[in-house]
Parts: sequence; C-alpha cells; structure tokens
Amino acid sequence: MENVSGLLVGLIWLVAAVVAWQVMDRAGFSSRSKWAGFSLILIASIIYECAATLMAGGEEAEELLDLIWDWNFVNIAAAALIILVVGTGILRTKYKGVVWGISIAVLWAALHVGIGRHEWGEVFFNGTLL
Amino acid sequence: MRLRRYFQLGTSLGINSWFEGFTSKSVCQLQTKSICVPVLNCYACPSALGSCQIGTIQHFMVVHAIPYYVLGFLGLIGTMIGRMPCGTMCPFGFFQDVLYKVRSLKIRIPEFMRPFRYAVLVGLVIILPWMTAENWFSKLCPMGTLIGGLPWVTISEDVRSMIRDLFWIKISMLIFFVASSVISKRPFCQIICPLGAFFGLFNRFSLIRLKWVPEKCTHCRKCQEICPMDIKVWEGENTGNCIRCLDCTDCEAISVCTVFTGARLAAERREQEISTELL
Repeated sequence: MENVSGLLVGLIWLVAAVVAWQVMDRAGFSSRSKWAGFSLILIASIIYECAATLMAGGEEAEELLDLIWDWNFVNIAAAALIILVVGTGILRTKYKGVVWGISIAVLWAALHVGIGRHEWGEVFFNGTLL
Repeated sequence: MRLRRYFQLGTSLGINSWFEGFTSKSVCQLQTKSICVPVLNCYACPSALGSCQIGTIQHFMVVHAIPYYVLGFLGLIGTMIGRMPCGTMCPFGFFQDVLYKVRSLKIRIPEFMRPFRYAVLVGLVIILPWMTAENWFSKLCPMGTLIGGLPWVTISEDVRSMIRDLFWIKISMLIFFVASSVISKRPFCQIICPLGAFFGLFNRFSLIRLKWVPEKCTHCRKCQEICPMDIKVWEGENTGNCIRCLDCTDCEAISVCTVFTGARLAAERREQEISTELL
C-alpha cells in the first residue's frame, strides 16, 4: 500500500511538470522559460521528498544525510547543476568550452569514486522483471 | 547504405554476442557484465555481454545510494559526444530505423510530446524507484521485453511458469512501439527513452557539436526529411533532441565542429555582422 501511495504521489509531481510545460508552450513562453518551469517542479518534488524524509526522522533520515553530507556528493551535485543550468538551455553561455572542461573534471571524479567503491554489475536477472 | 548502419549493426551484434546463453539457458557472468553499455540494451538478454545503465541507476535508487560509477561513465560519454550513441550504436534505435523503412502511412510525432522523456527519466528511473523500491522503467521497457523477456520465455520453461499479468502489459507496450515505429520516426527515442534524455542534456556543451550556417541554408527542409528524429535543424542544431547521427551533414549548411571551434566561428560571425552593419 505504501508503494502505491508513493507511486501516486510521484506520478502527480510528474504530471504537474508535464502540464506546466504544455501550458507554457501554448502560452508562447520561450524554450528556456519552459525548461525553468519544468525543472523547478521536478526539483521541488525532490526537495519535498527529502524534507519529508528528514522531518520524519529515523533510520531513513540518517541514511539520506549520510548520502548528501559527503564530499563525494559534490561531484554529482556540481554536474547536476551544470546540466540543469547549461544543458537545458536555461542559461546560454558563450563559455561552453569552460563548462565542458568543468563537466569533464567533475564527472571523471564521480567515475573515480564509483570505481573505487566497486559499483558495477549490481543488477541481477532473477525473473522478477517478468 | 550509410556508414552508421554498419556501426549500428556491429554494435547490436557485438554487445549481444554471448550466444552460449541461449544453449546453456543462463545469463552471461563474464567480467564484461561489470561494464554498462552506453546504449539501450537489456542486461537480461541471454547473449548480452554488458549491463544496462538504466537498470543499474534504478537499482541504486531502490537501495537508496548514489550511482557514482554509472553517472560518471555516462556523463563522460555525454560530455564528449552528446547523444551520438543513440544515433550510431543503439540497437533499439536501429530496430526502429529499420521498421520505419516499411512502406506505410507516415505521421509526425507532435513536438509537444518530446519533453515527456525527461519526466520518464526523473520519474520512472529516479524518483519512483527511490520512493517505491521497484524498478519501474525496467518493468515496462520494450527493449527488455524484446531481447530479454521474449527469448527467456521461449527457451526456458521455468521462466515461462513465472509469467504474470505484467508480462502481457510489457508485450502490449512492445507491440505498440513496433507498430508506431512503422508509421513515425523513432517514437521511443523521441518520447520515452530516459537514456536519450540523459545524453541529450549534454548536447549543448559536448565536445562534438553541430554547426548550422544560415548563410548557406536554402530552407529546402531536406535535413528534416532525412533526420531520424524529425528535427528542424535551423531552429536549434544542438538541442537535446538531436541524436548526432550526422545524416544532415550531407548538406553544406550543416557541419561537425567542436565546442571550441564552434565558439570561435560564432565570434567570427558576430564580428563580421558588426563590421557589415558599420559599413
């Protein structure tokens, strides 16, 4: 039951993001404004979920804090920021070469962390996907 | 035949070349399975040599962990070549390209449906697996059904006995995408594919880019006609929709450049425009 309610909440956020895009599209907003609206709703959904988990406390909140309160998370956070701001076209910069260089650095660092943690081949086929 | 067709065929066969899986009825367990392939290919295919990156991301979301390895690996590919793996290597993209060759009524997918793939990426691959501890995208993936589910159901009686309602939903989705691929260009890539959505986010600042020169464009729209994603190149050559198949570079108005040469050319053109205005 918890899974179903989680699924419904997630779907509502997604539908809201898609509806916002469509409304802005029909209203003649620019591409970057549509992206900003779409991204903001999805970011709001993630912040809402994180805040709800932290407010509820307990083991899950500790788990979440462990994930985010980590220097290794900086790489992914920086890459996500670049993708969100430059990759979606919200910010049009003429320094694309610099952005490219920074992206390479942070993503390489993320890959290095992942390899160090032996994070690979963790998906196993056991028939549950049928 | 275009050169990229050989790449597509070679990659499709290359990453699924552990044919022993069909006779031994087991999933390949070689070291290669530790590597995620940068294209949509099911881990569960009996002959698959690599693993599925979208499945791996979902797995990490389910166990509430950050997939540093997969994001770093895919991100590095994205920053180098953007969405090029979709256009030149992806087996499911190749499958759709081939289906579109079938003579039939052809329709265009409305542009407003394209952002839906970002919702699939964020929703079915990240948020919902995190919240519900279920791999929602893998459960519904038509590529998984095509090269994972169907072969297993065919070769293994044990797997056949595990079929539940979900399997028929997956089959329906596969049929839908096969049918829609005959009448429209790459419907899965345009509307659904989360991997394409991820790579597409790098298109605007990846090393390899496209350059459209308006002065050379005759607005004949042939680039849109031959584009497997039905893109209007003149409205934005480096948007997330472009799969960098490079078919449109047959036209002299469109060329391949790098993130560095593209910026230089744009600056030169601006200077030229200013000097023309001054004259």
